[in-house]
Amino acid sequence: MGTTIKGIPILDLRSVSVEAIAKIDLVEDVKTVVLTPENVEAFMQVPRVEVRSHLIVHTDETLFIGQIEFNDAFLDKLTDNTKLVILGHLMIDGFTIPLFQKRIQSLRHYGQIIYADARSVGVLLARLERLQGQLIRMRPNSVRWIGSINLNANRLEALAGRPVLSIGPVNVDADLTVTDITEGISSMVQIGEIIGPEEAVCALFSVCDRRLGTYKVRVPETAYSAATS
Amino acid sequence: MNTYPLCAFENLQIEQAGNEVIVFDSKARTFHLLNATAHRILKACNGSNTIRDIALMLSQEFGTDDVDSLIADVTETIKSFESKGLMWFVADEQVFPADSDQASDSPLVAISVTGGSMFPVLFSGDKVLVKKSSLDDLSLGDIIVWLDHGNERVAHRIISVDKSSTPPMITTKGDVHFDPDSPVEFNRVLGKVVAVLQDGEPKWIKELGKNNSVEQNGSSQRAGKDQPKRRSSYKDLKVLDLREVPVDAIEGIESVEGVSLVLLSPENEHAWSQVPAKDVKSVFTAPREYRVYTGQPELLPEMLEFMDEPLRLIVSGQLFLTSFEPQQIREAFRELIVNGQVYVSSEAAKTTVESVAKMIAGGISIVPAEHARWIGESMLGPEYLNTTHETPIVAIGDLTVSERLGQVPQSIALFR
Repeated sequence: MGTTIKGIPILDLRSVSVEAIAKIDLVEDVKTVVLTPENVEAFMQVPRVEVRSHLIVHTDETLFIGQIEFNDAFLDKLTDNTKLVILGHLMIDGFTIPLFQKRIQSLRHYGQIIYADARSVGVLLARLERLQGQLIRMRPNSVRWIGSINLNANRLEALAGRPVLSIGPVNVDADLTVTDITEGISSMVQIGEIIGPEEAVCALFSVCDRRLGTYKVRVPETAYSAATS
Repeated sequence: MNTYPLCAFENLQIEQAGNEVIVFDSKARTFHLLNATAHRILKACNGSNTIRDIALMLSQEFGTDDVDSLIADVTETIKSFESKGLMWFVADEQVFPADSDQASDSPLVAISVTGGSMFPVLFSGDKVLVKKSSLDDLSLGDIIVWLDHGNERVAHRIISVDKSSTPPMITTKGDVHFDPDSPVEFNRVLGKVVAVLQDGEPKWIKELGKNNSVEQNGSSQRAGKDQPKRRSSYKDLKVLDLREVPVDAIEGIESVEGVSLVLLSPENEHAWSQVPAKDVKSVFTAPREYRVYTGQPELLPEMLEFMDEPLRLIVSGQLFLTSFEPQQIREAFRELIVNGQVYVSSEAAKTTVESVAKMIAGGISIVPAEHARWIGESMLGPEYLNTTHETPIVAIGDLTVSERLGQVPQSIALFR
């Protein structure tokens, strides 16, 4: 009996042999499968259901998975003339262009590019062979909210007027008012789901310059209790 | 130097006839009759065994310790095969390049290959059997081994031969590569790959330029060829990017349904015609120089100053060019193919986009350059009126207007 792989976002099969792949019975509900040129054909013969994409990474390419602050510190970690493949979001406030040109020979990117500095993105695009995702402008010096966020008064206060980049679901605290939100957030780029009372959801939309995702209106708890009692 | 006898299986048909074996050489159109021991020796000549290895094998099978006598017998039998044209000899790879003249004494030289550029014909770790070849022996589609300027051996497929230049120049390409290699002088070519040793067995390469098949004894030996393939289907995708997928794998696709855009490479586009496809909106062959963006990219003029040349761009989704002036569009794009909508900020920009676009499936919309952009499921409520933004909204996807707002007031410029 073989193996069934189900319900994972990224299935990295780069180090898996052709023989081992041939033993897979089924791959289901996987967002991206990462393969090598050596094992892609074997994987093509595996039955698949709801596999959204496959990514072939060549031996001379370097793969990063996850959200990356694409800055000088990141570039410093790379060797010269790296062929880069990124599966995840890139956040770009700016980097030293000659350093980028020295370090990056080519780039394939699967995810969103959220940027504040257009020239940095320009030089990146010049070496970008493939983009699967959005190019989204954000305000410079944005505060990062990464992952699931509970938006409450303390978090708003910590912003101190800075714009926000939010990647992940935002759950709006029931105690926050519309004014708290519209006055607390000067500008926002949000990728993910917004969950909260309708007024709060609409208020958060109203401060979003760029937004990608869904929303869910949460019925106030008291009304819910009344309806179910 | 070790040599390994290799039966020229490529041209042979072998049939059992009682206790003997009939070998038909299809190339020479002659028959040979072998007894069981001679047949056993012939089969053991696989390019990986030495004469001593074969003698040891027979000593175990026959239960004799007289290996020296067996070595003499095997040597004599193999010489007999050689005289009949049934035998080649494989030399170790160290004869290349230090003593390449010596290589001509041995018809074949075994060379290890690494890397995946010839997948799926050659696998990293395979030994290829290389035959020294004259220029006239080389044809388009042959795989050759040549020395690069770092004296590294490269095994790639010939895509062009220029016999008129001095010296003659050969251009090759890795099967999985988009770009050809730089042309190489013929005197750097070590020879033509005639077979590959995979798992200790020779697999003969025939007509690789036509179908990438690797064959042994006239029948296909590639994984999956003899067994029924487990076939794959693709359904409800925005983009099915098959540009890096080998021809064999495309031919194994059972069905493609409900796909907005299929991308193929010039190398594999011919295989697409065999794929049962339903509700596929667009199919494009996209060479390397075409960039492919999917999603909702927004480009700014200042982004493009680093481009070496105007963009040849394929977009599946929505392309935002709202910050571009018409002249900037002309300078930025050579060709534009959009499987979706394009957003610009003026009628003149729209006209210019139309002039550079080969296809725009979803039309061109004019929206204000500065706008809020909501993609996906969005909700507009009266709270928007209370912000200082009041910038126009471009909504892509499902926009719900709150009942608390009622009609969208004229102060909110909404583009859906």
